[in-house]
Amino acid sequence: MTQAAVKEDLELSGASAILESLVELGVKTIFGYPGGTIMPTYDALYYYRDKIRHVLVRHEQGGIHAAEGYARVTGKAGVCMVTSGPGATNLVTGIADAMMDSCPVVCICGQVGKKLLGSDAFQETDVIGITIPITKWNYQITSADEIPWVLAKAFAIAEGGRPGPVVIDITKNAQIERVPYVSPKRAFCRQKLTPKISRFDVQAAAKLINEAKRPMILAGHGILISDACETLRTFAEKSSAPVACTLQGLSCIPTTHPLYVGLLGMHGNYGPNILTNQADLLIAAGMRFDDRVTGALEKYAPNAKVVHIDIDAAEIDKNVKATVSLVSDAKVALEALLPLIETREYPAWMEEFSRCRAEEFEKVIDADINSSSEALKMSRVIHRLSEATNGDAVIVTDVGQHQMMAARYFKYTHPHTWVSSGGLGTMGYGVPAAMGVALAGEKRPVIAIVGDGGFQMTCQELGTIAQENLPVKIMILNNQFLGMVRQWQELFYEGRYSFVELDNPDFVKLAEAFRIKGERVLVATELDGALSRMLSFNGPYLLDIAVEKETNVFPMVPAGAGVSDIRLS
Amino acid sequence: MNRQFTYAVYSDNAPGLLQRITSLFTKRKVNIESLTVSKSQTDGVARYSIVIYSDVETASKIGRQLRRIEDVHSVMLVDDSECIGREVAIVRIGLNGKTDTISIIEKILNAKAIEITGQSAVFVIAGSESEIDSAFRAAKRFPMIEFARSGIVAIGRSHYEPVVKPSNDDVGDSEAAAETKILGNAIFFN
Repeated sequence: MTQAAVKEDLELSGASAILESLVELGVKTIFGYPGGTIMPTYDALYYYRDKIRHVLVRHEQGGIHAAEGYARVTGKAGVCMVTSGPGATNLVTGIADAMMDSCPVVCICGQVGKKLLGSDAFQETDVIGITIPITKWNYQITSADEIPWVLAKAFAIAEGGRPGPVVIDITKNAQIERVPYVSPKRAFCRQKLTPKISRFDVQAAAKLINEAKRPMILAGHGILISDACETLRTFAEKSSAPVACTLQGLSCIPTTHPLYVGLLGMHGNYGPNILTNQADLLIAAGMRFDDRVTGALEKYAPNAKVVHIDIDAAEIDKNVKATVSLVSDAKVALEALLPLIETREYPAWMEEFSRCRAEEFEKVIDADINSSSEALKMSRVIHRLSEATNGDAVIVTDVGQHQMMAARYFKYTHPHTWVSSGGLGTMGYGVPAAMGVALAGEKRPVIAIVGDGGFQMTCQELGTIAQENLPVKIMILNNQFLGMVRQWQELFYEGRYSFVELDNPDFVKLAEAFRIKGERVLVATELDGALSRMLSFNGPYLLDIAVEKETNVFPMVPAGAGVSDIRLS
Repeated sequence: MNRQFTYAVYSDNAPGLLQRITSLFTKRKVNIESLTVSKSQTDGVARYSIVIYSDVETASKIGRQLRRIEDVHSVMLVDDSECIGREVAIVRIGLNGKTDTISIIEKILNAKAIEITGQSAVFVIAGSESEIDSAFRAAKRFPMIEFARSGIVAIGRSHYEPVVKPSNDDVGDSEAAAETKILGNAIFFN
């Protein structure tokens, strides 16, 4: 059937046109959940089982987070397919998440028939209206002949420029109608142009870089998205400027690189935060000066000029004024700058970072990772995992204290090995996103590091993991608290613990109920053995690790404070 | 300091786009004072005139975000000094049978009667925003039944040719062409 359908003179149903288009656009995996209005497409999908792997998730939110995880490691749009009404509204959190983290996702939602639109029909929701503020583009298909060009455009938009989510709403009649097949690549063509950056701006940026005495590179997600990791490294090595990463920029440069000075932001490293205010030049590449990075803007980088590289012109001057801006993908901009910058050394400046690192080590890190107390610290768990895997794993996290610890203490050595919900901070992201990473054919071990709170928001996806036998390793850092909220209540709300304690189920039994092997770690001495059993096990595995109940993540830039007000305790 | 800014936005004539455009103002809690959407000089391309009160920073940040929307081709942002804007108002005034007042009303409102019944007459007024404001004040002295105004349509003072792609021509990457030009008090996001 598929073979014949490729012939353009053949008539086929809208549903088959959707699948034919997806195949032609290179889609190999769909995360989905069937229901009334998408059933014609699911019926057609039955005949495409050999071309497209459909993964039946347990909740649409799990589907879209899985699609995000898939997209984060492949760079290709993840695809979700759901029905109208609740199917589509269950995607909303994930769509907003993908929008904030520039993640390419294409959501295909069923919709009631064209004649029923606006009539409050069963499972009708205005999905286009709901998703307008949280999508890069959305479109409602009401006629089968629109399918090829709309899908082609959806993928071009989701993956092009600054990536993001696209929602395509398809009415039931459009799935049933028969149309002559048109190739999506012929129906829609968008030339990929190299971004134009003016030579004048590049020269101005290079001049600032060459004149700087205390420059600092702020490397963001854009480095990973534009595949500029090598370029960044060459650029850093030529300029000798220290490199700090944003949360989503993690893994774009090995943490072991001599010029890497650490993580930016609220729970980032001491040096890159406090020294931001001594820097005389920030070279911000593929990052957007999120408030979690800058803290109070009026106290941010008062002595620094700013070279801001971002593909999204709306990010320039949004939060921090750029002295020179290059609206371009990070790779193109860095490559243009490379021949113009001079080889430099900044020994005194680098020395300050070393001094800060030593201070942070003494006051925070040493106790965090080398503590020999019986009760495990989550930082130590991450540190031991990093050692056990030699930094060669994809770390997928949920949101909270464990996320910050995973960002701080895992030694990232390869690009795209950090997958996390940054902008939206979506609890429940970790397990389904890890599922998506595993389905992308990731060769490295895929490890979901989650808290006991976030895990319970999407733990039904254990069912999907078991059914697909995905080798996802889940580590629950279990402190029986919503740890980050508890930390804030301790520090800023005089210890009033308002609804943050969790009376948890037996997670090992829960895993076993899903036929997933599980193990509990109660004391420090059991950790290394459990990690090695988990890592060597061929298949999914869950570790429920009891960690110190009341740990705080430090350093910390309190909300509303400046980066130089960073606290070590 | 808040002052009046006007955007001219060119976009595809696509359903949902109006909501996408207005949602950017909603997001920052900026009230839209006036909004008109109509055909433009190019087939299939819609032109929006949007008037807001805001500070220049917010206005220009929204301008860039407007430009980022798929299917938006270009955005011009001008303040009052750079803006030539006009409005149309249509007003129905009761006559109580006194048709001889029509010419007086025309003079006072600087309007033209376009439909007359025994009971009332409908007048049309075109002018700047302040001219329409004063016509409204003047009309209140008569038995005014209904007053409808169009909202501002505006054009920039500088000679500038906006980038307007013909509809459905999707060759060329819109994201790649981000270019900001400043002419006088006008900012163009192309």
